[in-house]
Amino acid sequence: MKQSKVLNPKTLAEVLSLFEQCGDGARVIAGGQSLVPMISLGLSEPDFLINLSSCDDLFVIKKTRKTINIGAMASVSEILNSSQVINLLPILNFAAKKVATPHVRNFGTLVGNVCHADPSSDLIPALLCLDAQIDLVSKDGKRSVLLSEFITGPYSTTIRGGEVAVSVTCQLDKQSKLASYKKVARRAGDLGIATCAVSLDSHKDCIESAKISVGGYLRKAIRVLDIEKNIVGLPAHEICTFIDGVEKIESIENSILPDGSLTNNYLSATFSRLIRSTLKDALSGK
Amino acid sequence: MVNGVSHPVVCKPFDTLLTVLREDLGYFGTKFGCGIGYCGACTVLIDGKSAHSCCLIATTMSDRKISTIESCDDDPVIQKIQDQFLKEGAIQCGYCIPGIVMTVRGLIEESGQRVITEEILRGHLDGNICRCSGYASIVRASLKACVDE
Ligand SMILES: Cc1cc2nc3c(=O)[nH]c(=O)nc-3n(C[C@H](O)[C@H](O)[C@H](O)COP(=O)(O)OP(=O)(O)OC[C@H]3O[C@@H](n4cnc5c(N)ncnc54)[C@H](O)[C@@H]3O)c2cc1C
Ligand code: FES
Ligand code: FES
Repeated sequence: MKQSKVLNPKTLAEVLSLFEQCGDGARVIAGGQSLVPMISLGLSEPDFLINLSSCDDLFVIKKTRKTINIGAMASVSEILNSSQVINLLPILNFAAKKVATPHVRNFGTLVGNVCHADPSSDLIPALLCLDAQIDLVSKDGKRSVLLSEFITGPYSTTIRGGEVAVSVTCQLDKQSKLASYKKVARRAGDLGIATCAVSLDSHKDCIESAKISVGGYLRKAIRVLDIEKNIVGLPAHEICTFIDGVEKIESIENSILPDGSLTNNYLSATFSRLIRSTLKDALSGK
Repeated sequence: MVNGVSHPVVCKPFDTLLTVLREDLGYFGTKFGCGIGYCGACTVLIDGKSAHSCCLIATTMSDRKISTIESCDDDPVIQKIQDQFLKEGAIQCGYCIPGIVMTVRGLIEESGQRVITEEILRGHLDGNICRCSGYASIVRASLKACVDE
């Protein structure tokens, strides 16, 4: 009979040594809000669960001079209540408000959300606008990877066996003055069909820098670089007209994940409209 | 610790808290709906915060304070919420109600002295589905209970 066990290490060193002892059948569990349903549905069958909730060091949200470092066990609710995130990373605060329901937010962690790599995650598009990186530790050492490289496709990342994510680090100088986050979902609390995070700087009605990320029914959340580069330099009041004039957003067209219930045309139009209205909200300070 | 009582339990390692509450400990007030975090029927409070018990592994909860709907006997706030549900006729088949009452209880606990508006309440109830769809009376009853506190 298959042996299964929940292990409760208290330190990162213990986590790493448990990985070594348990081998490939070990899986990290943080808030469990994605992993437990996956186990219940038979989609994941780990032998061992390495539970991080007794590792006190991983709960911390830390500010340094240039960064905010979000520990692996910081829940989405804690991020929502963090004055540092509210004041210094408003785009992340806006996105966190849209994650699921209070029940899920109370336990689900930001780092778990990133490791789960759901293309409809609300947090990943906001983190892409912040050029965030994930900090990974294994017995072989540490490495940090930009989220744009870490996430490779639906529910897949470049995490290696025996590696644990200890935090996500956001650069404070990547936060722009204007930011907004919006999502289209079937009902409040659902994962999004389309999600969009926008971060802008403008000077005298002219767009100086722009970051736009989308997620949803895509292979993975992406930056919309083809629109970003074309709106820099435009007068703010011309942005909506510009988006309306774009027939196809190539980066999105190439990423759409076909879905039986929604046509590609519907999804393309939904992404265009969402980007337009998120840009509009960012410009009006909503 | 469930409703103030410590229960030694022998269960399978990956059993959910919901399974253990119902099948090992007999707290049948906590309902099974979807089993994957979508309906809120299994809502309990963990250290005062609302949680889907179907999305938590029981063995990871051993040092937590868990409150189920059965804690109503010792909790006047739950009793007030229940009274409002009765007054407003907010209960139809009743299956979703323990989860909704516990969610409202969690909101009152979390809010402390802050005023709970209808918008805040509705946002908090996003994770609770009522298949009989009596939402208007559920919101009315819950709001009255929150204002009372
Ligand atoms: C009903 C429901 C609705 C949801 N709606 C939304 C939504 O609208 N928007 C949204 O963004 N999300 C949504 N989610 C997903 C939820 O936000 C994520 O499940 C959660 O944030 C993941 O974090 P966790 O701590 O629960 O991860 P877990 O479930 O514990 O783990 C998820 C995965 O990540 C791995 N993992 C976790 N932490 C680490 C680590 N430190 N190192 C290495 N690997 C790790 C685990 O092994 C597992 O594979 C929803 C979930 C549910 C159940
Ligand atoms: S049974 Fe837990 S949320 Fe539906
Ligand atoms: S009263 Fe029947 S499900 Fe809500």
